[in-house]
Amino acid sequence: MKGELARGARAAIPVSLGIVAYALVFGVLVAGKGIGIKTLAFMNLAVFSGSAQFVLVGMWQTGVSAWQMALAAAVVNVRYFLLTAAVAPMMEPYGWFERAWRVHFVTDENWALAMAERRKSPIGANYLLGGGILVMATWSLGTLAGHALGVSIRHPERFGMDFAFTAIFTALAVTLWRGKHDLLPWAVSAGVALAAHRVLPGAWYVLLGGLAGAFAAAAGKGEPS
Amino acid sequence: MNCSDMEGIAVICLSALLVWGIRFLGLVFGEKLPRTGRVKRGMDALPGAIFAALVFPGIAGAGIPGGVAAGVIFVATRKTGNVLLALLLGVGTVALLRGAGF
Repeated sequence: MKGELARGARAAIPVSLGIVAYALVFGVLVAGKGIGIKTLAFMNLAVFSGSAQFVLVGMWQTGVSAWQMALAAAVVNVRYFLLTAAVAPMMEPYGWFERAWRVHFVTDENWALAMAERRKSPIGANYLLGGGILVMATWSLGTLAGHALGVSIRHPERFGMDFAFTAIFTALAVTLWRGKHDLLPWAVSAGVALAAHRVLPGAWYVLLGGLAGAFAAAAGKGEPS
Repeated sequence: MNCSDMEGIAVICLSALLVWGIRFLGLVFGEKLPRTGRVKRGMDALPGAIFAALVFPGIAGAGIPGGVAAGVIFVATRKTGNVLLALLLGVGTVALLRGAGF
């Protein structure tokens, strides 16, 4: 069982290098928002999701209410619902308490590794956990290093750093583009978001735009993908 | 610890609870969710739609430099698949255009 934990961690070493790069950038941006290093460390362990943390910090001190920020961060992560659903068979040997903390260590990276490995050989939930622990360690250390770097940058807006959140979200959006049948949901989402951004306070535009886009996709004809 | 620190911790705790809740509910209910038809199409489209909703007001708010940078990011991501490179090019574009007086 212990061997499986180590195997899972070892398999996650290559993706961890990519995570460090992300983490450094995130740490620099966190420092730019004036968030302290202890708060950052706590967020890494408690939320433990890159995309949710990017969204959270992007809205930090913009006057958005706490529950709206939390909701926006969570909605970005609805895909986890599908990831952990696929993991359910691996968790069957465990009681509910153990499942509850183990599921916290599911991220895109170690999930994908575990799913790929499971096709080749029977593996247990420790393989998943091993990868998750390594991802958490590299994400935490990388963001803290980035934070240390970030506090030394003066006048971040001169380097266009206030645009960094929009920039990274744009790049992530481009990677999520699946083809022409995304045009309708995206256009609906963008239109609703732009309108809501004008007339409503806080982060309503994100939630309303995203939901409107998803409904448009559900209502549309749907193409074989 | 001052008041804004406490607010920050509260936001983080609330987010942590919701994000964990999604992970846990997936484990509990995920297999019972329909994997076909409209529900699946909606769920599949949601991540992209959320990001679309996040970025368009931000790009619009950043004016001409924002619009040009968005184009640069689009091309860079499609050509290289490297999100971090696209981020750096996008931020650099905004800095350059602002420096040029846009």
